Amino acid sequence: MIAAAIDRLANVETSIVEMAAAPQRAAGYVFVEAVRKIFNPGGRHEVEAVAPTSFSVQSGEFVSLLGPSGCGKSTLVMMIAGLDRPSEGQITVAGRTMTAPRAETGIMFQDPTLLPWKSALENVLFPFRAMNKPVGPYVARAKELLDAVGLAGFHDHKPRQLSGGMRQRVAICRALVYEPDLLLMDEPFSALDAITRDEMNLVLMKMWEEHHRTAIFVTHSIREAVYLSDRVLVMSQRPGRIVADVRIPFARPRRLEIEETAEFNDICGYLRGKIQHRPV
Amino acid sequence: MDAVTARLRAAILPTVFAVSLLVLWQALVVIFQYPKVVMPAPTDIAEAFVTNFGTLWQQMLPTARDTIAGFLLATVLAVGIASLLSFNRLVRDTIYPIVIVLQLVPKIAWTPLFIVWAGIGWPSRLTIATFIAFFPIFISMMAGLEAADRSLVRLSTSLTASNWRTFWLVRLPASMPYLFSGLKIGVTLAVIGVIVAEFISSSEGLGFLIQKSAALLQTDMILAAIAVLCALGLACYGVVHAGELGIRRWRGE
Repeated sequence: MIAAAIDRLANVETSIVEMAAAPQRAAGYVFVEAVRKIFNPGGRHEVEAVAPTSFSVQSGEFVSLLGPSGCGKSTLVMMIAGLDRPSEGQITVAGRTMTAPRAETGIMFQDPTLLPWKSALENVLFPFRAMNKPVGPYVARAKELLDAVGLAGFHDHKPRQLSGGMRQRVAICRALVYEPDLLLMDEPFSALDAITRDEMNLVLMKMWEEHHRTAIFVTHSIREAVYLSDRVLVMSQRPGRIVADVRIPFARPRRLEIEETAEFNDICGYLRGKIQHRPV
Repeated sequence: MDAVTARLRAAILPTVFAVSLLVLWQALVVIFQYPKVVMPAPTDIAEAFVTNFGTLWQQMLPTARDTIAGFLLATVLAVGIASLLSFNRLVRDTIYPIVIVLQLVPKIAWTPLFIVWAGIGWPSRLTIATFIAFFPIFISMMAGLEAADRSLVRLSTSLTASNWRTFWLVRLPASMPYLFSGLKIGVTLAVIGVIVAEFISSSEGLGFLIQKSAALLQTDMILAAIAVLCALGLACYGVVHAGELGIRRWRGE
């Protein structure tokens, strides 16, 4: 029993070693190269949010950035989104250096960020309005997406008439409706209760397995990261840098039951050990 | 208490109180025999209103015209300038503090200057009404445009929306509740502006009528004109309020 557990841990370690030995440069889709972020450089409140960090994400891969709060993981994702610029280093997405947001990236924030005065359907169609495209051709797709996340019958509801979980479902649809090739999610479920969160993970898994976009998911929940990801990158305390790169071996489609397996718990335990906590 | 009872209550309570005050007023005048020149009874005012209805109506028209025109012009200018400032940080930081300082000066103090510049006709009254109504609308609009949820703005930016698209889709709709609270203050100030201008120099309007009646010691006429003014103010406010309700219904709130 114990021997088996050690064996599994050894496997986890092996995959980390493999990752380090063979960087996926050729097949990569998102490259983060020596990226560093300093807020208020030279000022009295200078903060190094992200220490020089490099990693890459392959096309179609689901990668989680896992770390304690304030470790710079959100900053990193905002830079990949093109909403923020690195102080040093560069980020390349689909062969293009990021200097501004690109239309082919879908984003989910911590809160659903819906227009309160627009219906669920109109909120899903918002990207086309923002990009100044006619929405007509996409209405059917938007409705299909809403139905797929269990919001059939809520198309015309306003955000305040929906629960927190339903609002995040609308946000998932909005991030997928224009078929982005890269999906960035910044702790999208952290404001939800545990049960709704499990539910949202299932919805997200289902949608991701159907659409299969490259995805980067920021979270401080170890179990969520392991359940969702192909790979988990662990970030240290601020200034954040990657301290572990772990491949998650579970086959897809994944069911919530895998969270009960010993292997799942071993991986979680290993990751927990990698997260450095501030001295209590 | 159900909704209908609550609404009835909200209407009945102040009405009953107002009527009681009028009755008290009437009783005091009758009991203490105040001279009509000093304190006319409500019935005297009603009489003055009925007999001079034609005059009151005629004098109300120019006041209403200048008020509405001034208010509309102020709205267009305030919304337009606030919107322009929201696009450019540099311009905003240059102009906004100056507007705030200007706003601190009592606007009425400028009235004689506007009359010197624009003459004693309606243009000066329009200018004053516009000037005085502009500030609350402008400041509310600025606050509304800046109050737009930052994450919504960020979302819009991440979707490669132009500044103009973000303004149109996010900032402008988000500013609506702020705009309407500014409009409600603005419309009442526009009435004040026109009346003050009419006091200073005019040969028409309710302000002129009040001044003239005061010179002739027609106190009942002054109060009848004030009643008409009150109705005018209420009507303007009502239109703005109805506009607000309309927009809220359209947005499904």
